[in-house]
Amino acid sequence: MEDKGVPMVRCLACLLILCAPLGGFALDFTEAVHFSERTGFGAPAEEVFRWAGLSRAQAVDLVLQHLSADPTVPAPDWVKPPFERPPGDREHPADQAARQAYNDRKEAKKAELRTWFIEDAVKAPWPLGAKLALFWHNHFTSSLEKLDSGELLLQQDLLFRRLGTGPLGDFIKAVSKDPAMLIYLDGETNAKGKPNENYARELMELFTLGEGNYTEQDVKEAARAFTGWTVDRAKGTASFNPKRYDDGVKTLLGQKGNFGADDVVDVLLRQPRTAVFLTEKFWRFFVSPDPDETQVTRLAAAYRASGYQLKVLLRGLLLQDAFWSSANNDSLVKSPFELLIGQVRTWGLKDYDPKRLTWQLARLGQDLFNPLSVKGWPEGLDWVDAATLLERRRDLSDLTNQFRKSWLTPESNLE
Amino acid sequence: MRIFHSLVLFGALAFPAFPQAAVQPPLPTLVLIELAGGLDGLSAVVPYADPAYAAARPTLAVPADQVVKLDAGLGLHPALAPLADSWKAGDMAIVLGVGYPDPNLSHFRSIAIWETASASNQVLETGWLARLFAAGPGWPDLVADGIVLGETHPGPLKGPQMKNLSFDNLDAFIRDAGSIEDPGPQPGAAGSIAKVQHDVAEAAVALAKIRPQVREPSSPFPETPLGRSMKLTFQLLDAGVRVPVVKLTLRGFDTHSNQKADLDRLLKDLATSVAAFRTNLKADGLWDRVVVATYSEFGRRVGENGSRGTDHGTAAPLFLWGGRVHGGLVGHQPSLTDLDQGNLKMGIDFRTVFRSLAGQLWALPDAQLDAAFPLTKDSLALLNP
Repeated sequence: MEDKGVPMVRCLACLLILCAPLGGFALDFTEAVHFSERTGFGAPAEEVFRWAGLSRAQAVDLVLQHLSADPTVPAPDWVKPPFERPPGDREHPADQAARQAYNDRKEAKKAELRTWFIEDAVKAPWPLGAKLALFWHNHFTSSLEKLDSGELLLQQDLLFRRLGTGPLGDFIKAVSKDPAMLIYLDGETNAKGKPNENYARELMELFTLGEGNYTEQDVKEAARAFTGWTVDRAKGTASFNPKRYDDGVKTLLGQKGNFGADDVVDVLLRQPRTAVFLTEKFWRFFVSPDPDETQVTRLAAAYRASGYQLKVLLRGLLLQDAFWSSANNDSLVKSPFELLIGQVRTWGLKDYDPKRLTWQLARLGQDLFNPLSVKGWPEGLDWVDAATLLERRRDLSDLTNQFRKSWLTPESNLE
Repeated sequence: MRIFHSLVLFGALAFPAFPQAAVQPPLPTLVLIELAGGLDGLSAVVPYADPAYAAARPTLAVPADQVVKLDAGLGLHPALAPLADSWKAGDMAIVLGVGYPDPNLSHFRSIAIWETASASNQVLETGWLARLFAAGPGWPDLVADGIVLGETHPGPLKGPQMKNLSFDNLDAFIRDAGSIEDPGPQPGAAGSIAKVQHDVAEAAVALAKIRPQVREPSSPFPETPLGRSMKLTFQLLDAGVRVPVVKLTLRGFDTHSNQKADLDRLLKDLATSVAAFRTNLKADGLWDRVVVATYSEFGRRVGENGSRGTDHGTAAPLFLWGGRVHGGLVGHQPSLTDLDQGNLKMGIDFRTVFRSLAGQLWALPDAQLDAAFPLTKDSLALLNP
């Protein structure tokens, strides 16, 4: 009955930590809870124990040292290609039963994708990787609604985990050729002579520079550079078709060249603005809703100088005084995922129902793998309106009841 | 202590915490029904006399002898027959060929455009109703700016200052919201959440007051999610709840395959729910204070696809019902042969429809309408004075 004893131990630990003469160097209980919540989901006792007593730098180095490129819960096997395609074709349409059976399998995979993502976030002993996967999914958005494929979304999620913690340039180059992204932002239809600007525009507006830091002409030129990529949905791969590629000279942000997809990314990353844009977004995710301009400039310069190494940026952010300031302790509104998964983790619930959580998250406005638009989910106070407030309370009390029930079993009387 | 908090914290808000005794002038209510997924307009309002229709829809065309004829060229889908009374009585209008320039065929982008009344390539954070209400003086003693029933997504009601409520069950809401404590002044983000808590708690008090007046309708509603939401809408208005907008959703119009059975069911649900709503409100003498309007993110492709369904398209008809609605057809049915990549060319901008509707329903000045609809200045005569 070890896990049922944890809350009691936690109370004792809390007392000990509060009483201990640790001085100003070690994290106290409140700071340890804060660090758990911000770098993960909720504050499970074993995590709080882990951080309490460490110095800020020790805690930050430890969490970054354990930042893994793999999920804790192995991804479902069906992420390995080939992917199933709809039965029949135009000449030989499949019968209703075959189509229905295919659709059922397809929907089951979408549901399993969400279940897996939730399970991974609940079970991760070091949840920062899962948290960053959520961040990147909400940055390089994609949606089940448009892709209609659990396989491609799962493949993309694993890409986020594998490359999202490394240098940004390699990461964006891979995202630009990721099948899910090529479909979601219409890259696969972007061809020489028939440009589709969707990806080029969002890459600059939402992924790197931010609005107002490029011209409409830059969008057109970048779109030309991204031509030529097509998707094989069965293999789950992208490939380059030179016939569809516009190999002319492009002028992008004042630079001229025979740019292809990777070159655009290099040009964008040379812009200091990209580092500032990402630093501000990470600040709003980890620190507070109001990035400190001076500190952002400093952090962004170091981030860029490191070759956009994410760990450099994260280390800088997590060691900010603003991160630890008590004024920022309650400054971030939890997204529904952080709220509910955090609660499941904090209480160590074992019999949570991922399908029910998926449904509750959607009701709260965070339909997993289906953000409402390319801009991603709402941020901050947009999560809480009169409609969602009662839902958030109801869902929390739902979890509270589960927690309470776990204390009322016959075994609760035994040790 | 709680009352003291209310006064200190929320004294600056536009609405007093509790309704005054004085009788307020009647408040017209707009009931929006989102037909989510993209309505196949050519099945709902059938151009039965156009040979191009049967040609484009070899398996899906609604036969001419089955439609409810509206005029020599157009007829309603047979499942919409329960609306024939409203059509004959002249309190039903069909605005034809509604869309927007440079149409986006993505569900989420297109519904965002409809909800925010933005330009096609523009992303706005607030719904058009939120901008409209923020630009005006507001009405006294509202229970809420908007009530969202069925689904919680506020759509055109989304905005930071908006007081939107959402519930499925009135008693459950009164119980849940009634248990919310006013947390008092809070710094930072918690203060904004406290404001929402205050709104909800206040609405629970107002709704608990009218609860004894809530009665069963005399004419039954269908036992469907939409039917139940429309019934609750009727009960709230009948009980005297002052709310300018109620938003409902009927989902399932994304009919890519085997659409006939789905559309038969959905359109029947819509027609029987609206017909029951109308009958009950007419009996109540409230039909003149209500307008029901449908909208959908887009219509569907003119030619059917290979799966006895239709793909995403553009323009579609939009329905209006209400005692003040100027009945009949508005605008023209788009050509089935002069197409843009297989899609109908729109005739009327949806922003003109909603601008006209809001202006005429609530008698709003142009300046206020401009705040919600900066892109369209035109007006259609949709309501009788």
